[in-house]
Amino acid sequence: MFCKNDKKNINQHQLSDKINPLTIVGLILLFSVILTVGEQSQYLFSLIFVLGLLSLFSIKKAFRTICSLLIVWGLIYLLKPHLGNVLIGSIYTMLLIVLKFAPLFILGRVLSSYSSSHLIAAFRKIGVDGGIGIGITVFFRFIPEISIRMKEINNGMKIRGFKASIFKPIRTFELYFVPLMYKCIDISDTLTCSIISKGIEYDGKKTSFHEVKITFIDISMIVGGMILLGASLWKIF
Amino acid sequence: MENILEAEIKSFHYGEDLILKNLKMSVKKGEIVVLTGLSGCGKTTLLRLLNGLIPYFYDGDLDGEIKILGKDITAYKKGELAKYIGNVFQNPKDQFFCDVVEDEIALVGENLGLDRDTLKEKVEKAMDLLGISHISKKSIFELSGGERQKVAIAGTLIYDTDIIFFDEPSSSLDYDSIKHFSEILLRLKAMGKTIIIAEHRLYYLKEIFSRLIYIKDGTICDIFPNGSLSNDKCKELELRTLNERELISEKELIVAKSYIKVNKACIHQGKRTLIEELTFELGKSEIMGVIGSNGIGKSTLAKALCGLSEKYLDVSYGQKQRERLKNSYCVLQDVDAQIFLDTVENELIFCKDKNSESDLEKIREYLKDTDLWHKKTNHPQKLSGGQKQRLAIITSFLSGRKLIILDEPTSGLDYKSMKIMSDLMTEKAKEIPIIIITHDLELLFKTCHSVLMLGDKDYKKISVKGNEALIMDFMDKKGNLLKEKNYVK
Repeated sequence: MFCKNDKKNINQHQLSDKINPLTIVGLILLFSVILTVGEQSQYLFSLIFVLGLLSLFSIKKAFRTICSLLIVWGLIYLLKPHLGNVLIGSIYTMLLIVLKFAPLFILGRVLSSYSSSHLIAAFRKIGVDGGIGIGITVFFRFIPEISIRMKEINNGMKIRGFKASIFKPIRTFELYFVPLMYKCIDISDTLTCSIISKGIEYDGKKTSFHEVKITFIDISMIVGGMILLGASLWKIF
Repeated sequence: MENILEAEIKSFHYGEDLILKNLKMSVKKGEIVVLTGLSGCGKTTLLRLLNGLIPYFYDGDLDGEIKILGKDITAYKKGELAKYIGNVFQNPKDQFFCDVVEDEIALVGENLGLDRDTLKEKVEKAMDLLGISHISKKSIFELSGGERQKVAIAGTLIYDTDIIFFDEPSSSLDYDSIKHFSEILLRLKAMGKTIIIAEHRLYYLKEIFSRLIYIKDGTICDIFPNGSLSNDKCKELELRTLNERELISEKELIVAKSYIKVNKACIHQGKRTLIEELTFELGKSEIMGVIGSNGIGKSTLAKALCGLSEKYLDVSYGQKQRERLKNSYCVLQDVDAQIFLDTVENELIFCKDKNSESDLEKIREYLKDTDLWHKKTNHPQKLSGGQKQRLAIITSFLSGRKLIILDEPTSGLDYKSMKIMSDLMTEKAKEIPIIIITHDLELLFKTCHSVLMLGDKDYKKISVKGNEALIMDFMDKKGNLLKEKNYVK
C-alpha cells in the first residue's frame, strides 16, 4: 500500500495488489546480470521498461528520474573530450557507472514504494521469514528516515556554521556521516526492541494483514526478464 | 486480587556497575503503577527487566526473579511475551517497523498468527477505540506526536495483552495530547489492563495512578498509594509538580530597552501560512516563552527566526536569511543533528575560531555546572539524551550570537535537570535575550519573564508574572481563548 499522497492512494493501492514486490526483487536480480553482460539494445530496453514501471507507480518520480538521467548523460557528453585529467576521468567513470546501472536504482525506487507490511508478507509467503526478509524490509524502512535525518543534519550544520564543501570531501562526509550513523544506531536499537516485544521471534504460525498474490502480470514480467537475460547471455556465447 | 507481575531483584549489574539492588515489588491486575525518580535512578532498567527486554535484548547480570502471570519471565518461549505484554517506548516514531498506520497496528497480530479476518476486525476495533480510524492509511512519518502514541497504544490492544508498559510517554507530547493521553489511560484501566508507566511528569497522572513508586539509587525508596503524595513531598524528593495550577511565576517582567524587534513576520510552511504578521520586541535580558498547540507553527517560527527558512523577515538582527543565521542560534528539538565533533570539549572549543583563556575558563565552568566535566573526553553522541540536550544548550551559549532560541529544551528531563537548565538560562539572559519554545509549564514559570501565546488565528505576548491562570487556561483551551478574553499586557 502506498500512503505518500492520499489522492494517489487508490491507483497505487491497486498497483501494489497487482504487482508482487518479490517480482521487483526478481527483476533486480535478473537485470543486474543483464546490465553487466548485455549490449546497448538490452540496456535501452531495460531502461525504458523500468521507467515505464516507475511511471505506473508515480509519474512525478518517473519524470524526475528521466530529468536526472538526462543531466547525467549531458555531463558525460561534456566531460568526454577532457578525459586526460585524472579528476575529470574519475568523475566521468563514476557518472558512467551511475548511468549504466540506472535501471537497478530505479527498480530499487519502485521497491521502496511498497509498505514494509507488504514486503514482509511477500517474503513470508515464500517461506523467507527470518533475517533476510526482515533485513530487506528494515532497509527500505530506513530510506525515508535517512532523508529526514539528512535534512536535520543540514540544518544543524547551518546553525553551527559548518559548511559542506566538495573541496573538503572527507570533512564533509564526516559531518554528515557521524551524526547520521549514531542516529541510525539509536533508531535501530529502539526498533529492534520494539519488534522483539511485538513477537517477531515467535516460533508459531505467522499471518499477514495484506493478501499478496502472484498474478499473471508478475509471471509475464519475470518471463520477460528471463527472455532478456537469455538474449544477453546468448550474444556472449 | 491476584498479582499479575512480581519482581524480587537482589541485584542487577550492567558490566561492573550495580544498577538495581534489594528491589521487591508486585503489581495487581488492573492497577496503574507509576515508576518515578531522578534520571539514572534505574527506572528504565527496571522497566526493561519487567518487560523482558533484559535479557532478550540487553545484557546484564540479574540475581533475582521476575514473574509474569505467575510464571518466571525466562520460562516464556521466544516472542511469547508479546501475548501478555505491550510496550510503548519513549519515542513512538522510532519504534514503528511499518510505514503505514494500520500495518503497524496489525504487526503484533501477524507475528502471533491471528487469521486475517480476525486481525482486520481487531485493528478496526483498536483504531475506533482510540479515534484514529481516519488516519489508518497514513504514513507514520506524517503523524503528530499524539497520533503516533495512539498508534503505538492501538498495537498493544490487538492481542488483548494484560499488561502495558509506557516509557516516559509524555516526553514527546504537547499539553493537549497529554490530557488526551490521561483519558486513554482511564479507558485502558476500565478495560482491566494493568499499566506500568516510567515517568517524570506527574500532574496528569495524579488522579489515575493506583500507586507511585519512588526509586532512588537503584532501589525502591517509597511507595505512595493514590492520595498520599502531596506537592510538598514532591518538592522534597525533587520530583515534578503534582499540581500545575499551583505553579507561580518566579520572574518579574523586565522593562528594558528593546534589543530585538520582529515586525510583521509571516511564517510559512511550504505554501501554507502558519503565522501572519507577528510583531514583538525583546529586551536585552528577557527570556520569552512561546506556547501553543502542536502544529501551530512554533518550531517553524524558530527556524524562520534563526534563518533556516524565510528568505526575508523584518527583524532587527538581520533581514536576510544569511544575516539571521549569523546572528542567532537555535537549539533544535533533535539535538543529535547539531553535534558533530569527536569529544565533548571539542564540541565547545570549536564554537569559536580562537578561544582566549577566559573563554576556556567559561567552557570549564559550563561543563562543571551541567555535570558534564567527567564526560569531557567522551564522544558527544554517546551521551544520554539529557546530557546531549545540556551540551547543545551550552554550545549555543558559547556561540556569541545575539539571540538564542531553544526548542523544547527540557522535554523528558527530571526536575533537577530542568532546574539546572533554568539556572543556566537565567544566567545567560543577563547578556542576551532567549526565546524558549516549550510545553513545560514548570520551566516556563521558573524561567520566563514573558510568554508569546500562539493561537489558531491570533497571538499575544504577556508577562508571565500575574498571568499564571490565564496561561493555564490558554494551555487548556488553546487558541479560542484568545478571542474570548481580553488579555492585559
